[in-house]
Amino acid sequence: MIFVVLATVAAFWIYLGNFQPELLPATFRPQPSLLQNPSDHRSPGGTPFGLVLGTISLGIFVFAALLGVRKKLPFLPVGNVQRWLRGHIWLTLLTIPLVLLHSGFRLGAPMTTTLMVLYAIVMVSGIYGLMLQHKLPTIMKESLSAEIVFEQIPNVRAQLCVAAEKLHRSLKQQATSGSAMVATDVSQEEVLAGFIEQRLLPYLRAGRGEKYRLGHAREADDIFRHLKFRVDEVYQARVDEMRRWCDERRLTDTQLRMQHWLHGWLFVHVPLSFLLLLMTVWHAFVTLFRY
Amino acid sequence: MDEERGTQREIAKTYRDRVQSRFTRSVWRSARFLLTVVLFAGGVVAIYYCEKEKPQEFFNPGPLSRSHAHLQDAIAPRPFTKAVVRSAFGGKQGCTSCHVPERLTSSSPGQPPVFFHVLNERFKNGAPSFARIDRACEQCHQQHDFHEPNVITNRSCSACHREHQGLDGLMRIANLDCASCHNNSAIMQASAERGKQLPRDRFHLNPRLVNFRQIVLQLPRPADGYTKTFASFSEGHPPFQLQRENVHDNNVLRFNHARHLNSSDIPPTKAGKLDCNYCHQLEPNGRYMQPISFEAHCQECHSLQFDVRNPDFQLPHGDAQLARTFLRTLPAQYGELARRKPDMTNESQVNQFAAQQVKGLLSQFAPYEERHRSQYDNVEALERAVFFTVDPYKAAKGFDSATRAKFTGCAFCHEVKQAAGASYPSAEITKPVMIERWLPHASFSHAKHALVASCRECHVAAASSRSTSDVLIPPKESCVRCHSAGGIARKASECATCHLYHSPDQPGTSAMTGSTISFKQMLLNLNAGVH
Repeated sequence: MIFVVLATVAAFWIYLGNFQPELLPATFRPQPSLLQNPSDHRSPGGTPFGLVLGTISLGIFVFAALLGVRKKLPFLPVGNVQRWLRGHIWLTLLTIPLVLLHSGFRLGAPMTTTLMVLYAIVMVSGIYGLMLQHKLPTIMKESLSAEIVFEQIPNVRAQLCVAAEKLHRSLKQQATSGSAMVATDVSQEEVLAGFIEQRLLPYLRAGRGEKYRLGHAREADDIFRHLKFRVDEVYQARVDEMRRWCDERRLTDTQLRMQHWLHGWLFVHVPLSFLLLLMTVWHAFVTLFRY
Repeated sequence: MDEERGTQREIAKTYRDRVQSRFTRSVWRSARFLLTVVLFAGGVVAIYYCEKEKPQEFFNPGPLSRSHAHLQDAIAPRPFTKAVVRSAFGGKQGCTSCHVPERLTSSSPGQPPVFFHVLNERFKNGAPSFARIDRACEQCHQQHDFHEPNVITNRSCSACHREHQGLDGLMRIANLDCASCHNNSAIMQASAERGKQLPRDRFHLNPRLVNFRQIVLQLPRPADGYTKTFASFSEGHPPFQLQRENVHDNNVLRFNHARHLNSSDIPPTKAGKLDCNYCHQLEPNGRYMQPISFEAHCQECHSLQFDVRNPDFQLPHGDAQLARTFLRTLPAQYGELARRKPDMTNESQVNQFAAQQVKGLLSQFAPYEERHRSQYDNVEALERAVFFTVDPYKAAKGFDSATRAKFTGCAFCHEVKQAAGASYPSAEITKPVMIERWLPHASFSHAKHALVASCRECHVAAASSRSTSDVLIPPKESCVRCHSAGGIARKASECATCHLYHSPDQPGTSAMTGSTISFKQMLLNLNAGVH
């Protein structure tokens, strides 16, 4: 952070010294070696100092885009991902003053305006994501009793369904094969099988669990309490097991919702970042070699 | 969650044997990747489209000025316009009419590739100068001297005339453009030094005239030229030179502004009460005032009726020689007057009428009433009274102010001198020269200012001025009241609001451009002869 602040101050100092020296007290004006030759051009972007700012910004954009590659290739001996992420955050924050000074606080032509709008969206989404990533893990830690690897959530959900289906089949078999023993027992198994078929399985298979009564903890407690009243001691453990499945399913729902918040901004940030990089390279080419 | 969260190890134990391969790709991640690819590809297509189909729309930072709008039109599919523009710009059209792209290929052997050369050049010297664009400007616009000859660095056209700023943007010149030199003491000092080395006739002494008959005050350049540094009109701009050097109006016509503006005994004119606008009338373009003329602005009150008995009989004005001839042929003039009367039938009646009128006329001039000389002697006396006497009827008996003739004598207003070497009364009247522009380096519009202020609000001194020599141009402070950051005309406080940067280039003024004397001096020296 100190580096970013110092670099920002230095950039503003040289900028003012070159383009608006009257705003600086005489003692604070940069030495002549830092001043460029006067030019008729008004846009700072085309001056050597402006080009340096633009080039640094482009370099930072490239570095920021390489974070994804670094994550995919963790074995590369180029610093750990955490350092890369820290560099990604602070250096891209540094581009805010650099880009503003490079542009001379103007939007310019449609091409540069598009660039600035893209840049603003990328930066705002990035800062928003940074804030989420700073806050949400704490909230998740407090609100989630167990955390599942995000990518394994569908797998875990599928396993819950399989377990429920397996129990359903076994209860059905018991209901048909052991019917000669005690009539009431058969009735309880049918009750449980019916519950699984009508309530539990639809909930566990659903894409969005909060639409079902079992998706809400308080209502699920009531449902399972009533279910326990309807079955004997023998099946109480089964009911508790089903209750745990529902809890686990709710857990995945909550985690998924939070994960969507945590990673949803990347849908804006990542694609537009690459688009920004492409447009910036084009902007550099056009302005350097066309004018 | 009421349930306590377990340790990572406990959580991991829960999910042991329940995980799939770690390379499982989530739908979200795939969708994000797909979106990135689509957007990137869309960007590439957009770039290709813009490069090929709409480069001007995408790279153009703003609409072209009104004067150059035809270049933008050339992009539109109108074959005629395209052809016209192509021929005017040597086969180029659209953006390339002014912007010449860098060549990225064809480097000669042994030379660095042009790509790297351009890159190196840009980082060393920045964006290329406007020289190439200037050359494009000069294809249509006449090349001319920029500014004054002691300017240190001639700036590019595009430095001040910024294109792509809208229809009128080309002519909006910011203070910053002027201040880049005029607020830089080193540049101004160097400019002053260079100016000392140059002959005075190299400088452009004349302003851009609104019309070629305009009489303009031209003061000699200050010793160091106009090299004082300042940032804006309100801050540091020197006082106007004519006030700084306490310049007086050398006009020889006697005029008392205070008398004309304040006296209650002046009868109303046909247009109403006498005020500034009665004499000072705007030119059709509203910028400066029309020249003052005796016939239009003075004669209604200052009549040339010199014979009270013949009100239509008036002295000619504007030429002393003509007036003298008129007086010396008075019998003939009265004779002509008599012949126009219906009751004058024969020549003796005409001669008698003429003799009576001449005699009667002479009797109106008190100093000559007692004289009984020859006709010619009396006419000489009459000439003396007309030319040299201020209000010659004043002392005449039998005539009060209501009945006497209105003519007040040439000397009432004019400087009248006896011609050198003449034994008889021979008057020379110095031709009055009334300056029509006092601040020749600035342009001004009276019409615009009349919307926000009355004449007397700016020309404060006019109401108390009793002498022609008073210069009644408002001081700089009067302008600053409005033309400053806090004033109502703060948006019109740029240097270019008043000043011109380019040297005058009208063919009509070229003869005066090389002159070392002012137009007024030229008039006085050449035309102040006998009238």
